Amino acid sequence: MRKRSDGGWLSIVRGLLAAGAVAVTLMLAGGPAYAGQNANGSIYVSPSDVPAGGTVRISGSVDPQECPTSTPAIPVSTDELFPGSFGPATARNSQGAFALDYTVPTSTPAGSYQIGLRCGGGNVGVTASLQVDPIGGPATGAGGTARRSSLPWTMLGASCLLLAGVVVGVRRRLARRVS
Amino acid sequence: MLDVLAGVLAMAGLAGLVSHLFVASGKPPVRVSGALPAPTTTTPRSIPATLAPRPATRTGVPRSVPLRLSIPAINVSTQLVRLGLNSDGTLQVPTDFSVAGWYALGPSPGERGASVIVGHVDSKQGPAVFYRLGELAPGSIVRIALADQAEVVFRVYAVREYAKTAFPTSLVYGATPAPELRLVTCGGPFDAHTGHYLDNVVVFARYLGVDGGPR
Repeated sequence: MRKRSDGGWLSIVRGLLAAGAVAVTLMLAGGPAYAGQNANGSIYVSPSDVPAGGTVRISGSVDPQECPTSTPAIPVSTDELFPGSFGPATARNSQGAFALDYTVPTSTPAGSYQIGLRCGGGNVGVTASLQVDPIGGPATGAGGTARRSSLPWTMLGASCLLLAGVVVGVRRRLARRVS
Repeated sequence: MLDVLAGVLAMAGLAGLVSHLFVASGKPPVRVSGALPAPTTTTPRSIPATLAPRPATRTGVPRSVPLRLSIPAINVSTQLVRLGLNSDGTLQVPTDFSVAGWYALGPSPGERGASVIVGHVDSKQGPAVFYRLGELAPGSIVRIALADQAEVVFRVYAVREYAKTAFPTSLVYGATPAPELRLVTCGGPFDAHTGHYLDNVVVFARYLGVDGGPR
């Protein structure tokens, strides 16, 4: 990443605004830190948790003055979340913003992952966290108290009734012959 | 002779037809109750300073291994074992049907976020530790003894039943602004071919506070 070139008022004001924004965010949000930002850029992950195999949107921006907009943004994390540690390199718009949809590999173990951001070979210094959830619901029963199907008995009952009807019919026919 | 045969068959037939009335009634019914918060999974597109304020967070307790769980309303008092993941990414379940287990890769009870505890509804022999979980209703109290605290206390606010094929992982495991608790077991129809129930019963509870002081 390029070093900050202007040390003027604009930069200071921008830095103060960004720091204020972070402070306000921390006060308001109070929730888990799944989004991060500093004066150089920002990164968000939504939703903040997903089972392995699910898709999240990773978005954010890198200040064009820090990293030219022709350079892609690259999310980084562990090998388990991003094979090779690098996520998909994603083009940025004229404001430096980017967004990508990422499908978490089904092999990613459940747990909490920090996602950082790189641009132009430099680390932007922001992180967001993503929680990978266990897949599906737990198998918490063996069926010892499950209601058993009564269908076989019902079928047997119907068959018996039918047979009883046949027997009665045969008996009547026999009785008629005898008389 | 034929009269007797017809009579026996008719009796057997009627008995068969009404047999379903006499089949063991199975698990206690799950009473779905309480309200869940609306899902909040929208993508933040504006800068964080413009995000809407969230409810104030309730301070929880530092991470600590849960040792015992008690739910007086359904006479549950059990030790807790630690649970991880199976190789297929699903949640492990306790090998002992009479104890419940804590998902140790998630928050501990009283930490911010949703702490998850699971237990079996039954074994092949009969009822297991969470057999009556579905009887809980909003307001029921859940107590968990931690390794370094006296007890953290939660109050049930909702009970739900979900098909395993549509298990709401975010609602169960996802981030919450304050400490919460999820109690999970099985429910719904039993598939004798796979040996599994088709649904999960999930009890949602909010953190009330610590009962007693540090030990």
